Amino acid sequence: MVTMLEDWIHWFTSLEFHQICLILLPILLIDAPRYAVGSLLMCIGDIFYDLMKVFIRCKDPQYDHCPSVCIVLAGLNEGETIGDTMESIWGTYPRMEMVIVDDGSTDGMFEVVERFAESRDNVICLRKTERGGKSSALNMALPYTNAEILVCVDTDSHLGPNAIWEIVQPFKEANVAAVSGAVIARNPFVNLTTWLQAIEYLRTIFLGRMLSDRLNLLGIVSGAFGAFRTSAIKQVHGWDVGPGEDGDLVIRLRKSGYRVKFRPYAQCFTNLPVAVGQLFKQRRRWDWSVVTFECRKHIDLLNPFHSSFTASNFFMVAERIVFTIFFQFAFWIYTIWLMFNMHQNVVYILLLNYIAYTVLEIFQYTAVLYYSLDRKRDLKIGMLIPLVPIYYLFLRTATMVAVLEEMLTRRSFRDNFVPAHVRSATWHW
Amino acid sequence: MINSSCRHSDKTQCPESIPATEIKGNRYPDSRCQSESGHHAANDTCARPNRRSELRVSIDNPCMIVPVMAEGFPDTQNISVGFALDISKKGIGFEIAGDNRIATNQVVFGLETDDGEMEFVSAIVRFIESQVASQRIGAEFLPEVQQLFTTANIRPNYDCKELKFRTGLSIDALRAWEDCGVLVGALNDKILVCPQCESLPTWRLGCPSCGASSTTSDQLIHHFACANIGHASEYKTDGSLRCPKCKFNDLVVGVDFEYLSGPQRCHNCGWSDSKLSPIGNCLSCGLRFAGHQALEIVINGYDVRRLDPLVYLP
Ligand SMILES: [Zn+2]
Ligand SMILES: [Zn+2]
Ligand SMILES: [Zn+2]
Repeated sequence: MVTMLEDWIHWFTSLEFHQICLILLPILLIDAPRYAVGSLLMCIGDIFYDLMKVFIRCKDPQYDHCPSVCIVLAGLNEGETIGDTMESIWGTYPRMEMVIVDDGSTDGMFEVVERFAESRDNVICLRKTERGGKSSALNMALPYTNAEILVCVDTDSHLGPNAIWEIVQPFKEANVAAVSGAVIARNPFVNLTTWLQAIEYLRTIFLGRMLSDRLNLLGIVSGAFGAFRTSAIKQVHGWDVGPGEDGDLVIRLRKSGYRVKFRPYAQCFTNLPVAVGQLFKQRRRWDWSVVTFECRKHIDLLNPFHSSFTASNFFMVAERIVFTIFFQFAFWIYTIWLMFNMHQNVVYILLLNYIAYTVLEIFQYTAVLYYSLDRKRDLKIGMLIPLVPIYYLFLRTATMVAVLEEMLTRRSFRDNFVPAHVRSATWHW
Repeated sequence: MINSSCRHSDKTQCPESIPATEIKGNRYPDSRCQSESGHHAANDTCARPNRRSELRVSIDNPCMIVPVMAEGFPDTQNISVGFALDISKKGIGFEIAGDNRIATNQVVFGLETDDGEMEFVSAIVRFIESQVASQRIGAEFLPEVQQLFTTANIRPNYDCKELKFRTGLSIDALRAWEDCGVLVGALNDKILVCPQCESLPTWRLGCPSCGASSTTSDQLIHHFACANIGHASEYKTDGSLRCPKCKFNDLVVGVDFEYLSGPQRCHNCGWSDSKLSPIGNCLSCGLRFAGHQALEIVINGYDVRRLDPLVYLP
């Protein structure tokens, strides 16, 4: 082991600078620019800004915007979890109503909801006798509310303190139509799968979206916790058929000229997939939508001659296409090329890449910890950072599979996320 | 009939002619009048068992006697137990220990059957004959209309003038009889009544906000292809249906879209929600109230095992 390490150091020091660059090409081209550099710059900037605040004794901003809010909970067979979710949200905000849509459950979910609604005004429970899919369940709430803001929460999630207060603040600006909350792992320590996902969520959602928000490139609002201006949603007639309906809606809102914001301290604790198979399936669904929506349905955003063209929308779509599709292929092609051309040093090269990725990850995680509300917990979550590069290889595989099957076979339109009668009626982009 | 007077004599039936040893039901050997059966006038020593037209049969079943006070309450302090001596279609003779007078004339008489159950009947005491340590009493069964535990008295009846359920005996009296073990609870239901006057209201669905009955339900259309859910009126064009979101034409129900029931709307106050609420209207005092404001009251009904003297007669 020690001799191998010595060999590796010997090998590494013998490399020329351009060789190192060549070996670390994927990191330098994809991962470092996408998140790491930006995050670090943002974090350093904020540290200075916060220090300034200490010196000039700025008061913390109060919540001064209090629009009427309608919480929308749409679920299928969530009888076990929805009761807790409703209880945890109810009463945490003064001007609140709640619409719960049962998308054809058979497990008694509607009875749980009705019992909850019985003793409370402003709780509306709706039941669809036949399952119509997540999008239509969310749309079902629209005719029933006149609240200014619609807040969608997953039926098995819990909101953090002041989450609703936090998420409605950006709506002070009239052209903000959607605000994403931060999704945090509720079950990080169940097993390796959830633990690694917890790290990923902190890095890509909590920190990553903070950066996208500053750059005005945010193109997604979490389905688990997102807020929308009701008038804007009604203007675009709500969600389209999924999977990937959250991202699609946000793109359509941006197309209509609205802005999308991220609120890192509007936090929602959600249960992450425990089994590897479940996780793989979930990621495939997410990545299908990049092909269906960004590459097909909304490809017109890349057309500079289109009437609704804006530079930020162009960069938002381009970023997703380039990083999710183009660089994924490049990564695998490069890896295979490397294996063939430098096969005598494959182990050394892998080790070098591994170290580089881990260092990058640690840098970013430091930024996460700077912004974190619960540093103790997040520090514990971060203990598994050395495994993260391997986890990302797994995610890249899922992305690769998803992109290929969606490009070649339009796989998403055969997925049972949407019921068959809706799938057969909708457009196969 | 058991008489308190002795104007008639009936030698064949008179217990005087029966030897003491043959008298059933005499559990008090120290009794001064061992040779006499218990149907003699209570206070009149010269009173003699009379002639009767009714057939009577000797029995020795245990019995209990509950005096009936004003308003049909049982006198629970003065319940006596003893033994029946003889029974006819019209009345019963029995003997109770001690010399405490039965407080009232009207009693509820309970007789234990051979299988150990008590059966009850209302009766009126006609004569009492004091013994050394006991009393012999003759009582006459009251006619059906004067019985205490008629259906009208122990079961709730709807009073269509007051719009209320009532029992002939007060609920407290019925409970007291239940506590003595005479009545058995047979019906226990809850009804929702007017919170103001406790009358039975009429119910219908209406606006939860103002109670009005003039509401309409909007019909929604769910277009499968684009997931749009909107009011049916938004889809209407001349002759065919056109989706306001995706502009798709000639929609076919079942294939392209489904109808969903939409929000209920009140014409009176403009309220809108997913469902109507039950609204009560009191015809007695005119109050209109929401379902959750209604008063829930318990309706009690009782049963009694009635003593049928014919069972004992041949
Ligand atoms: Zn449509
Ligand atoms: Zn009304
Ligand atoms: Zn009334």
